[in-house]
Amino acid sequence: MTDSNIVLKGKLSFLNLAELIQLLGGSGSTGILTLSSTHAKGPGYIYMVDGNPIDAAYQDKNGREIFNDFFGWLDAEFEFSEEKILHRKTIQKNRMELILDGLRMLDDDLIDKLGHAHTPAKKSKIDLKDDAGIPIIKGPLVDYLYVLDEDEFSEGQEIVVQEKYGNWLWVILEGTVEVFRTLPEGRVTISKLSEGGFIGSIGSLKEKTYVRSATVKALTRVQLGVLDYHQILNEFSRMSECFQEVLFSIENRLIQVTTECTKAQFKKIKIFPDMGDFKQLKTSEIADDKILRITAGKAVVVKPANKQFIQLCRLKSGDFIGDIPFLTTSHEPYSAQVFISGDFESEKIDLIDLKEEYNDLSLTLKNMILHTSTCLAVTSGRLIDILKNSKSKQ
Amino acid sequence: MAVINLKNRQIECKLVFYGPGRSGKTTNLEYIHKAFKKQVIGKMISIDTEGDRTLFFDFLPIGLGKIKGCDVKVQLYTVPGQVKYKATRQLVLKGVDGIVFVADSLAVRREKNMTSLKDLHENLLKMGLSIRKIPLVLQYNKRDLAAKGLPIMPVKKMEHELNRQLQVPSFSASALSGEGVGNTLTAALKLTLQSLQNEFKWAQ
Repeated sequence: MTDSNIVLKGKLSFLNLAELIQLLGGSGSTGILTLSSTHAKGPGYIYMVDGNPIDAAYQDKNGREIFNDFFGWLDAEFEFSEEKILHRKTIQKNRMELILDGLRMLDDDLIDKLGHAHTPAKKSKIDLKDDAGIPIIKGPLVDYLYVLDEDEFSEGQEIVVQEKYGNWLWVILEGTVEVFRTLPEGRVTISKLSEGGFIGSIGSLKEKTYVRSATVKALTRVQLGVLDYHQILNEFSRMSECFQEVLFSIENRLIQVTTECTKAQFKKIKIFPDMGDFKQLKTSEIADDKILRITAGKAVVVKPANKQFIQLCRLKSGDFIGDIPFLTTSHEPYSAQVFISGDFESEKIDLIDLKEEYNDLSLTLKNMILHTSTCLAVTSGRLIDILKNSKSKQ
Repeated sequence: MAVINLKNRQIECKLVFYGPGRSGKTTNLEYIHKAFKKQVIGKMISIDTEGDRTLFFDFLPIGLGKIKGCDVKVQLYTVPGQVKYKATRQLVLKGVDGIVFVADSLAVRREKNMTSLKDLHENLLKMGLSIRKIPLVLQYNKRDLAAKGLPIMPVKKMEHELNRQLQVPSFSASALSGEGVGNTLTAALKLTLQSLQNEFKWAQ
């Protein structure tokens, strides 16, 4: 390739890959598009014939996946050299489909952004805290498809009450509510929920007589969307048993962490100097496309702090261990460790099957799941905050 | 901003179907793709974005004349509703020449319509375009649901809430059966081509 063939040169930060390929496509260009980035281990190549990409190559790999990866090369430089292409075709789709799909994957966080630090499971919209350090959890945009009716509560009204039965599910359309647990010693605020947050949990889909685990009170005038419980239950019961168990297992963690939070407030929490007979499970060594289901023995999820261990929750047979990126689970391997008992046994569960099932869920159910994992992340953070605060007061 | 392709003497312009998720944008496009087969060039591209799909195909409007001796090719797109699809939305809206806003007639979706229209306004502003100037047509979709006993908003109310300030052509439709889809498309194409004609006159 000689310099004289180069007909177009520039930066993808100015003209992004989608625009560039549309431009080259519009003029029916044939040639090689070379991408170079200081963050890459070498140049990337896209082979174009008559305006359509036919192959992409990077290092010793080529094909459609490599092409998609290039959408993450946000600040690379490009050169297009016009030349005849004699090359095997590995990409069959036309350019608009490739572009739209590539951008969709970029938006869905399925493509790594080159040069941008890879952030594990984004903790969306949970950095908000009020003056007292209590987190305010917001949810994604409300999907009105499952909203049957709207309810209004005035400031101070209790929407659900701890230990009372109830299966109603709401999504917050407007306003803020407080979630708290009451113990004989007093009450502990766990979190605050705002627009897009859900009241009522996935657990209520399991049993007809669901006991509320906390009280929810309106802090402002609150507008709630009443969710179609039966429609959600219907959809839920169509899920595979395995997926249901995964969700209940996440919910189970949330309930336990919430309890720990409440205990911590009254200094009734145990902090372990060591994990005794329990051995650490190297969760980062679980393959990316697998999680573990416990078949025997026990496991404890802990947060290490100052050479001590704070217990977040205990897991038993039927519970799951591992990172589920599309559910943005938040404990292991990034922010917690798992220790297992001597008689621990587990089986591997394929994540791709679960992911496919997840993709087909309605937006409301996806939002509910996301809300549960967000609450788990936030409540685990809250536990650490409470412990820190009580320490600094001592 | 239409693209003039000198190689094949074609003017390419872009018509985007905008609106809240599940208001029927894709249903509109699917109906057009099926009912106006002869005018469709190439296959319909469908990308699964969360909430709804993003569709794209090329369309040759017939009987609306040429511009400066060039054929007009229209790219029809739907835009993904979800906030996170920023890159996709930017690409689709870039250089848009005309917009069909598909509103949902279901009473429970009232707020969604308004939020989406506000989003459109903001997204256009970011590209230096004004919702008042760009060729725009409103469609009140899913009118057929009234027959199924579902609560839908009267057209008058929707006009009042969505079109009071814009005062653009609006159509009732049931995209599932195709009713009103053709009228919406023709009106949008007419407005878009007229606006392009005017642009090219200025350019002379």
